[in-house]
Amino acid sequence: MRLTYFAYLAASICLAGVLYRLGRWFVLPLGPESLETTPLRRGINAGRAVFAAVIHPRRLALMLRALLLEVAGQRQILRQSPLRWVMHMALSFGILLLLLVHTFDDYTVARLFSDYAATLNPYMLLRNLLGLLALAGVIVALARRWRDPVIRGTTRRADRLLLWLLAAIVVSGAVLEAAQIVSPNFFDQMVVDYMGSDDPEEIAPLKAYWAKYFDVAFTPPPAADAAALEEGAQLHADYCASCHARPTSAVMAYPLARAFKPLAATMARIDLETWLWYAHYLISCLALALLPFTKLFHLLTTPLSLMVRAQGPAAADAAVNRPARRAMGLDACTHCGECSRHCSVAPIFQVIPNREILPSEKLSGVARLAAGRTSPRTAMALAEGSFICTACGRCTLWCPSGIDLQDLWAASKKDLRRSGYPDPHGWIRRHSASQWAEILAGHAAPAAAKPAVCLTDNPNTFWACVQCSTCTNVCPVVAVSADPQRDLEMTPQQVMNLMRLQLKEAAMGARMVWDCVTCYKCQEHCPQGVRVADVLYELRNEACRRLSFAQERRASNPNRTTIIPPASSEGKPGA
Amino acid sequence: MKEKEIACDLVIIGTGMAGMAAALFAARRGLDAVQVGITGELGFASGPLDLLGVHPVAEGRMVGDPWQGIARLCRDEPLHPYAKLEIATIRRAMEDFLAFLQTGGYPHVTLGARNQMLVTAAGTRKPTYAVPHTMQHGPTALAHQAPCLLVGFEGLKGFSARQIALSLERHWPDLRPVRLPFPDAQGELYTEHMARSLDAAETRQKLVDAIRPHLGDAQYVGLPAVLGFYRTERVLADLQQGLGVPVFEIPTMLPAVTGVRLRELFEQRLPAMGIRPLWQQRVLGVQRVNGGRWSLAVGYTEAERLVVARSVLLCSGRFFGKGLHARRHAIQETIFDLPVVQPVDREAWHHKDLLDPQGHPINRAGVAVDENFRPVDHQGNTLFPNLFAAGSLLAYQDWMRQKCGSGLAVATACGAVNSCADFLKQVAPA
Amino acid sequence: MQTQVLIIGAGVTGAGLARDLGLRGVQTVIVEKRDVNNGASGGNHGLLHSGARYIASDPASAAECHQENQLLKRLAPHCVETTGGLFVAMAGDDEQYIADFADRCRRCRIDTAPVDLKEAREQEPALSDRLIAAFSVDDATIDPFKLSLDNLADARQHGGQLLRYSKVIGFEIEDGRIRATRVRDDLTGREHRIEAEVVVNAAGAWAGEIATLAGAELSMRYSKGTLLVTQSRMSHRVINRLRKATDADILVPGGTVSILGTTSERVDSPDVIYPEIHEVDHIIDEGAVMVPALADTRYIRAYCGVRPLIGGGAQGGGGDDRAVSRGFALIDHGGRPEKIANFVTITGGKLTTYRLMAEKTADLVCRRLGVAAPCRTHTEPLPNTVDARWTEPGLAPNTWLRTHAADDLLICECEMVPQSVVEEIVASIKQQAGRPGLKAIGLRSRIGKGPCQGTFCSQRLAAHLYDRQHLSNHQGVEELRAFLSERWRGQQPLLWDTSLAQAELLEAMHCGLFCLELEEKKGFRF
Repeated sequence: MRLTYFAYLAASICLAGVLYRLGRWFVLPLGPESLETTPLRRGINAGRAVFAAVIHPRRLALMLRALLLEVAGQRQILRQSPLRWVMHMALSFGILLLLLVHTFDDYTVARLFSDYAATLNPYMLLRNLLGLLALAGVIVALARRWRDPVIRGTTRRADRLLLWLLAAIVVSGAVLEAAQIVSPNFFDQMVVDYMGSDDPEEIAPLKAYWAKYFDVAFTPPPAADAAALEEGAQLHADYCASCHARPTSAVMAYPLARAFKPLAATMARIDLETWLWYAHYLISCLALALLPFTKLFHLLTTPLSLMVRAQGPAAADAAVNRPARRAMGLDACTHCGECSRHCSVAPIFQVIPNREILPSEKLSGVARLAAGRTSPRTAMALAEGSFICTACGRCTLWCPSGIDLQDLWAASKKDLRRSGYPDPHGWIRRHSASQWAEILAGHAAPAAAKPAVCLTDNPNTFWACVQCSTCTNVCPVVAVSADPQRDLEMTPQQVMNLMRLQLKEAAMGARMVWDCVTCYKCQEHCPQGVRVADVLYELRNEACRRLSFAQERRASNPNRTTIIPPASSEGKPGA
Repeated sequence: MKEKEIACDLVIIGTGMAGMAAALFAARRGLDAVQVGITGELGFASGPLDLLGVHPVAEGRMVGDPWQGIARLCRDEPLHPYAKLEIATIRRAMEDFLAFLQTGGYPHVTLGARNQMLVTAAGTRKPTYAVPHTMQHGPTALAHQAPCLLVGFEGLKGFSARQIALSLERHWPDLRPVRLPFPDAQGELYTEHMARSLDAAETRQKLVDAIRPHLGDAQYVGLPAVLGFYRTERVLADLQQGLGVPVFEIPTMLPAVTGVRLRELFEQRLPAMGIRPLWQQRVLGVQRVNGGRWSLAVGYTEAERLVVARSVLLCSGRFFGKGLHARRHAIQETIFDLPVVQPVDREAWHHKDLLDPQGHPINRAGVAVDENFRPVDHQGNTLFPNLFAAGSLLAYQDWMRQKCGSGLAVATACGAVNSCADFLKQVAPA
Repeated sequence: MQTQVLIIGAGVTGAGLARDLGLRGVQTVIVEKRDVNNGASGGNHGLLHSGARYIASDPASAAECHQENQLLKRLAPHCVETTGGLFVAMAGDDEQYIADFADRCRRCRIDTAPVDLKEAREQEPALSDRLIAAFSVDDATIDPFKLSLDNLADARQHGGQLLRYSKVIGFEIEDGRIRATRVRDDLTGREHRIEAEVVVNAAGAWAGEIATLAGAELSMRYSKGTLLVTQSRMSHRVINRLRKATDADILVPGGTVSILGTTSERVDSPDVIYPEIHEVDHIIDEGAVMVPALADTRYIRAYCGVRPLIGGGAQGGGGDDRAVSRGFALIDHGGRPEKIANFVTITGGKLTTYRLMAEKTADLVCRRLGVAAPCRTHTEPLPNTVDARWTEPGLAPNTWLRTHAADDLLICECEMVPQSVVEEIVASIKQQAGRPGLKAIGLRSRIGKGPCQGTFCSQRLAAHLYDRQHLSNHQGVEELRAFLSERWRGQQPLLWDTSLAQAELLEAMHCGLFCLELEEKKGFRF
């Protein structure tokens, strides 16, 4: 059959793709460690690490434990949300077992059980149940992506298309099965193949029996008297029963079949079940071919990632292994969006509409950066998002794929810095606050911020400030400085004051703003309820936004690559 | 967002002196209490604990014996919150409160039945009842006009030893100022940071070494109130040993370390005593629910929790503490919208002279309460059986002019908690 | 002490006159009973009128205003912010007045152009949607403190001298001439004589009192005007209500704030005046009709000044003080019943025409002195001096941030005035033989003008002045009391909402802790 060629083609694409992507784990430059090694060394060391893990009993035990609890049991997701766990279990086990008992039945169940037939129970029931399970999983997944506002915001078309693809496989299978159930053509062909007869007289009782008990939709319907049925039952027992259970146990397809019955004549005329067969087969091939190029790839990578994660964080790994681990992490992401839901700085996305602030989105930005597929514009956006990150580590904690995201962000920040998108914490020190005031005054911010959430432009934010200096007194950053004016240029309460005096620019470049550790002690202790820490944070982001915007405009001008002017010795505080 | 719900016997709203005292008394009485408020407000406690310093205010007459003074005040001003309490109750409340500070490692010293005179950073003198042990030698040195070295620090704003010495020269001629750099610090100094750095023995030694050459014939050494944060007893002992003379602190401008020490003490001790803190949050809304319970929405900017309480004690302070709020034409109580005793209109709120000897009428505005510290309406009828109020929020007092802030806070908190406990006992828990 | 001309009063007129005479080579001494701009010069909008406000009541003044407006923009640009202005009418305002406005302006040669309502609200989003007419005019704002201090500084360059806290207590008159003026130094209590060829009474609202001392009679009326300072700048331009001049119809931006006023209340004496609560409420309610945000915004200070209006009875007394001419009065007492040949009074007028008043007075004085030199103030630019610069909002923080010298701590956190600025001001006060007190420094800088209204900066400044040996003895307490009381005057009528909370903190610290209110009871001992 020609369809098989498609299957082989899809399998070859899949295999090539998998090899390609695995190969890239050892090539992609991720983090400064990748500069000091070669793909070969990365490959060899990865092999060594795997070998070491396998022969070392404790490490092997850790891996197996991860395989059982994390991969098979999805413990992480269960802890986070039982509903999501049910969804993921339904989807993953539904699809995986379908592959096992249905797609590749010739190599699995058929070998194990000599009397195997796809239309026999328990296989038919099981297949239908698994289909239902997978379909339920798809529906819950789609609902989740639609209901949760954060997830809805981060969901890409690819995420939804993939779910629709899985749904299409299951549904096309069910429809195919239903069409086959009611199809008289199919019946006729089977009779020829297995009964070896095409005598209408001889077949009539079987027809009557199958019309009654197997819902085949003959036109015209065969006469169904008791004698014919009895004879039909006998014929059925002789020729069919060894391969066919009643379709009522096809719990998903049977109701469809009942629904199709009135249309059976038309369907038979256009030979629909053959077309459906093509469709089901080709869609499945498509999914197979797409596997390495979509997040379906996580079927392979996430278990690996979870098992590697069980060995410890990336920081504990040998430096040479870290780039490959990060690349694997990129591939293990299912884009589930949990990291963005729990990201400490995700609320800033409300104010600064840069998707790269959200970890789930930043990840693909990092992948593009590593692959060298970035424009200055996208890299700038990535840099902004990366440097807004406070490295709180919550994304890593929540990731169900076991990706060491914190390590990934640290590495990508270094890469960005190296590619000329320096960390604001670094370049902000090149100038004093008043120099920054002049620089920033020239770069009016694009009107992106929603005024409703902009604290620094709203005089009400500062009205209550009495300059009592409580915020400065409790600030740990001020406390560790031997000379706050020299080290920080200004104290938190002085920053608040500059806002009140409408000298916002003068504060944006101040080191206090950039050295703030967002411990929120100032805000918690302010007797007047001034949102001190929120203001400091907003200032930092506003400065970043203005500079990114200017940078983006300059990027098109080849003569100027940076808007951050070189440091001058004059007026530079605390050199 | 769904709020978490907490049930309790008593919610104490406010974390100033009255709120903290109330929490202490509630814990002592074994009440299941939740406390809500921004503890940073306690940083505005200046150190000395006043009981009654001036009466009558219009005459500016300073009170020698605060207990006799209170007795006279209660006769002259029967509406004053002190008048709702027996003097013995006030005395016991103060004793309990001071005992708590003692066990917390921050003892305060009184002269029993006499007020003491304390020197302030402005070079003025203030009558007060109890002072932190770190300040105890100051009043003695002043009373004896003993030769004394007064140390100021370069970079500490608003504290000039020379200002204090010259301003007091008629009362204390032997006060000699000196201005020194603070060990290991440059630029601007912040009292809290100075205090924390003196908790380290090494800094103390450097300070001793810096002061010693200037000692001369001084029998006392005065310093701004920065002598340690958690370990004031140790800091003081080391300095006195190193310098060989008694050392004392002078209260600085607000917010002061003295207040922050109290804040830390309460923050550490109260939860251990069973108070459930919802600190750094405030009450955003309140509702009376079934059985007369109070349901309070608590959070920072949006409600994070619902606290359902059998009773509420309001210690939310005045305008700075946000317990009261003044619009252009009227004063309101901010949480329960209780009736506020107040002058007829804004013309009568303040005098044209800031320092008018009468004191500003608005300072006597506030929430009026019955003998059980339950807010009353303008006719004097008790509003709710399970709502109590204490502290500076109360009407008919001028704590700033009468110098009775701490005493008022502690005594009324004690009175209100007693009434509240009686109420809770009467009404069997549901 | 001897001088050619003695000027009484260091308001903007006296300062302008001292400079004008200085430029003509005439030696002057100014005696001022308090400090610079103590009267109406310090208690006004700081508005450089286009003249349009007076087109109906006083067309001659309107024309004068217009000329001086153009001149000052050119010659003293550092004192002026050319904001432009709008005259706006609200639904219900007098339609006839609106209809005549453009025509009347044209007759006084005042440039004005009608502005489309939509455009006007785009230019000034704070304007009420009840706007029915708008005209643009040439209004600008002017810093009266800077103006006076710069005039005084230039006068000093030309030999002039200023004696602050020097109160005139009498004249020695002989043969129809003032031989000497007796002056008491209010700081030291010492009295001394000043002999001058000509004495000019530029005492503003106190001109009547001075004239009386010389035996002359001057019929004066005192009209108090109260103004409010908002927390933030409400508009880009000066906004005038397009109607017959009345209360609360001008909103003038100044740096980071706006000033709303005024009222007009007859007072008996210019000495003890307060911004009253009913005036404040009236101003806010009226102002909010024009700019609704004024109803809810926060006000940081109220202040008032007394308009010296000449001629009470002559100009038909009673009635509306606004109807009295805003033109100035130059009185040669040689030609009046008292017949004092070398005594001149200049009063009335307004800030915008201060230079013209000085010019006319100087012309008269020079005629008396026989000096032929012509006036140069209409051609010579006013030099920008350092004396006055720290009154500008935002300058201190910007300079502080730029220089960022080690140990240059901020004395006033609200307005970010550092020690170095205080030292500079102290030096300039000392140079003029003055005593650097809290109030004098406050007048010459932004100290105490922020939202803490002196709570923190007063004691910080006192401590600093003691540490730098600028204060001695037990002056400190009195300085604190005086400084805080002065601040309180402007705060007291505005105490509600956040301001009240801040005032409570002020009282908690200065009365609760420092017991400043008890300090009068000296010598109390247990």
